[in-house]
Amino acid sequence: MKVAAAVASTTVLALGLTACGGSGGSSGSSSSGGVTTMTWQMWSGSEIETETLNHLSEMVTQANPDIKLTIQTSTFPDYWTKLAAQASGGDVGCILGVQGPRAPSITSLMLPLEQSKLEAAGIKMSEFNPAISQALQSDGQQIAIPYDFGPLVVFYNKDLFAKAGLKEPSTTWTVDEFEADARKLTTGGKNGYGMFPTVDQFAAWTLTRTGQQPIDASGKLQIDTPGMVDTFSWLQGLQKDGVIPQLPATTDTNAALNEYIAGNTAMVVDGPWQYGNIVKTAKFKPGVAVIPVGAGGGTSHIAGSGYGVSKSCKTPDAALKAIATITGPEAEKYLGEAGRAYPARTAQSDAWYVGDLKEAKPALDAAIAKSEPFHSSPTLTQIQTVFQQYGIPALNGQQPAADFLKQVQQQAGGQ
Amino acid sequence: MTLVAPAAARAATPGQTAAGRRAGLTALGFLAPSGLGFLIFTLAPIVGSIALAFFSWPILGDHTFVGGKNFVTLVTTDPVFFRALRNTVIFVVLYVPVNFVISLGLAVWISPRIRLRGLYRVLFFLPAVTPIVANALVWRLMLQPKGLVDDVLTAWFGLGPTNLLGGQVSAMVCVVAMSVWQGFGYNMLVFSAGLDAINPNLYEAADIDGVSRWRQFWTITVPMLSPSMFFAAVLTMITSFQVFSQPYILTGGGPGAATQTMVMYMYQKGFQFYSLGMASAISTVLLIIIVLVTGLQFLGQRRFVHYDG
Repeated sequence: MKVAAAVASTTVLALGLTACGGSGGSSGSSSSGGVTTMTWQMWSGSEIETETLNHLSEMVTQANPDIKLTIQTSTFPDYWTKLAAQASGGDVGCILGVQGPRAPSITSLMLPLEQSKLEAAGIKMSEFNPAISQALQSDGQQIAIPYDFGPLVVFYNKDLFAKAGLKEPSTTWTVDEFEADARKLTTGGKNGYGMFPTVDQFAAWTLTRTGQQPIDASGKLQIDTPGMVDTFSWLQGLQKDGVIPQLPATTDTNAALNEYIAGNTAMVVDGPWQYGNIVKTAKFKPGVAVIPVGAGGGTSHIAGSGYGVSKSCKTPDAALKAIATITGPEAEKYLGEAGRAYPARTAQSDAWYVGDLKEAKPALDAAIAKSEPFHSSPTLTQIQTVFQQYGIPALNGQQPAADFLKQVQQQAGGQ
Repeated sequence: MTLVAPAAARAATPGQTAAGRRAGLTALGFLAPSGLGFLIFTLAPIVGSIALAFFSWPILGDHTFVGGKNFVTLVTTDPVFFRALRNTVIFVVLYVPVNFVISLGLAVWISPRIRLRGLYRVLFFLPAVTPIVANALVWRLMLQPKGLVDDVLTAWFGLGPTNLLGGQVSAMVCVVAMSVWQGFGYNMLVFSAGLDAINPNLYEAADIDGVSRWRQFWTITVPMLSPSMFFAAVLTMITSFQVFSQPYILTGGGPGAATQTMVMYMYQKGFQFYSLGMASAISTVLLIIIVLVTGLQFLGQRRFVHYDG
């Protein structure tokens, strides 16, 4: 009786563990009546973005009546958490959104897209911007097809510049000129520059001031070098003088951007993918300028995103056919004209410059001409998390720059 | 004879008769659904989680058995674990008593048949049933620089621009305050129901004897309410050790690690750093702490809880 009870309870335990451990999953695709239905996982921060994805999905079914996509969206930070959790259960979708800097951390999930497969789907990599195509490679192998990209730029408030009697930034303005402008703009309850401490925003300043990024080209973290410390100390100085506003502890990486859009700060650093949103929601006239030229040469880093096929997808050819449509010329033109993305296809990139966005062309062209890919690492999530978490009190002046950056290096650099 | 004697002995043992066995099997049949549910949905995940703590288990990649290495790393080299443990204990020490004082105080206040008693109950319980994420977001909007609290402190008290969510101490105070506001309604309902169940004759007798209200509270209300208080204490303690949503939304665990609790750190290790083994080790330590504290509370109830009444 005792043996039977032990066997029964062990069986129940095993069943329970199996139920929790692996779902088997649908691997993101199913076929019925000659139509292949696949799951497309992507981040989305608003209803407008989700509507854009729905439109792209309809384009796929129009071009390929035998393919239907089911869209699953999450906010950007949750997307990576959800993807990791689903991957541990072997249940990820067929088509996955991949952001360039995060590509190294999910390489093991992605199907390498060999040249022959790309050709079969009608995708020519030569038609895309080379820097973003390269950012979506792992060990020289393409793991995703880009749809958008952009260099980091400075967004500024034209109204506040005019009110302060300042000349608008040229494509060759310097870090000193930026600082002088930011200080003059800090008046009447407004701040000259708003910053949220993310690694990519910090990298914009280290690159122009020192010529180096916090992560080197081989993926190694080098965030505690004297050049990095000097750059962070400079930012702390701006905060101390009230140019950069105090930050509350938060995980909202758009905190600084939102303050800019609300008209409380005169300048902010972000990517062109935000410009459409800024133009639509800001109650002032926004302008776009290059990252100011510093001692390191004024280079900006480029980041962007694309779509890849998961290794667990049972219909990889159909998935790649769908990707060929959602990154195709027609889709890129649609995304560009809607201001949703700066097209990664070189021939379609001008589609972005419609209406008010035309004014951004000189600055964006100059920034793209002088840019390099954002260097990433498989542990970027850890680096970002630690940098943001401790960066807020450090930027607020609660910790010396050298101590803060050493802490990030120790906790996230694996040393 | 030798055959009969053991049979007689068996028959003499209660529950060993045919009828007794049938009753036992029937009981087992009735217990089976909940027993199986407990095994599959409670015990198995707990055992699975504890087992995971002994593995290096990245979300993506191979799993390897590492013995107690995750626990050793936590207590020797991990830079945040003890900070998260300390923050959790600080939260519990601040949150539980404040929650008790407020919920008991309000329950006693609305206990007599005062006007609009039902309305007060609903109002006080409202924060407990509204989504915690929405609450935390509203609190964040109020507490951040240039928010409502900052404006009031600056305009009325001249306390200058404040950054309550940016200070090491003030951020924790904000997390506790928001949690108390969110959580006191539940305990208040428990206490309120407990107060209603106290026999009014006890107070009448005390009044006749000329006992003061204050003394009545300590010698009648508190002892009679002690079973409710014990129940509330156990549950509040357990949930406060597991606090996650409030600091996650309000401060993200910051500034730095000032409000990072154990469950937040577990989440970070598991789903941001992709190390499920370390996350499980943290959850195992938390489980042990909660079991020990709850065990101590059960030991204490023999002295402090009165079930006669």
